[in-house]
Amino acid sequence: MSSLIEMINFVPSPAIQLFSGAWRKDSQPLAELYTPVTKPVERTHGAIELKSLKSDLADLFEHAKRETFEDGIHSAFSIRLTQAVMEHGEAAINQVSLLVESGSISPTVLAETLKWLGNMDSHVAYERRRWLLEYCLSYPSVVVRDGAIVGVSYLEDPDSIGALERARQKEKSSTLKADIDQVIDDLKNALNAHM
Amino acid sequence: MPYFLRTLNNKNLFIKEHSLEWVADGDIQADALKALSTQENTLSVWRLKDDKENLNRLLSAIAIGRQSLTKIDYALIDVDEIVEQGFDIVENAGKVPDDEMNTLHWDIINISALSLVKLALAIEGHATLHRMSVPHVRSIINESISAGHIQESDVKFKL
Repeated sequence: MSSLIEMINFVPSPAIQLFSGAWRKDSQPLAELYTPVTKPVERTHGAIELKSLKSDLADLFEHAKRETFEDGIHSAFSIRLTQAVMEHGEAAINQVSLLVESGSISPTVLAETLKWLGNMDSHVAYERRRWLLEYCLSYPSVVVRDGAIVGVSYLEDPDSIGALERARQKEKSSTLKADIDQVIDDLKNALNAHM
Repeated sequence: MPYFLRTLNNKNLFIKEHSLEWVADGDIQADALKALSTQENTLSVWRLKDDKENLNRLLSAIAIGRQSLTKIDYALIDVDEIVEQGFDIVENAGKVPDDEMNTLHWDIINISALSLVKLALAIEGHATLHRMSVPHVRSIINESISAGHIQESDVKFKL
């Protein structure tokens, strides 16, 4: 994909960069990045299956507009979303990323999506979920950015401190800046506690 | 000055700074009302003393009633503000797994559609809005368990 991008002098969107691996912040070898000990084995998906998955997810997001959400309480939406991620792994997150890029998910539903992607007690598609959450920290909608801050906070992963600090620099809302500060403080405190 | 505490799914819907362009002054986006979902035209609130002495104990009891460990967004509003605006309030035992905290539970009753909007505006205009993050929620739950206020077996999720 990278050679094709060079040939047509095309700047890939962040979601496409995710597929090509260009989102990586350092020159860590790909194999090393993608083979953590706890990483579940991903099964492959054919083109038809991916199309069907994207369509199912789009339906899920559309139906979720009619739901009311409550912190920490599962909804029909959260159950189906987490099931899709558990079943399809990174393929599901890739399709969600494409739907996010196309702007076809309503801000409230996307914010709820991000909270649950952060709150899944599983290693499945972890790096992809984290990438999507960090990407959405700079989403245009304040509701989505708030959902991303909450989702990142649920990961409790100090590796997200850099992304949070960059998001804070760009953040216009003083309230969200304070929320980001709280998450950064929590992560730094957790780091210090482990030293 | 005692306070009413109301948990919210998203405190940031009540922040004027986040008000959408098309929402007129003195109005509030309809989505904020979702955070104030009534049952039988009643809204559940918790009454805290001036010094908010039981705040952490109450929040830990609320948190363990959930299905997963999450942040808690909540509003604190002066009880007088609610009374002066003409809302009917009654004491009504709560249903959290801490009996002493259940005595702090009140209901705002007889809420009409218009008065629900009035309540949302009161929260936007007069409440202080807070978010307790997951590490803090975990910490207060552990404190409540250690103090014997709640039982570890009441926690339905991994701490």
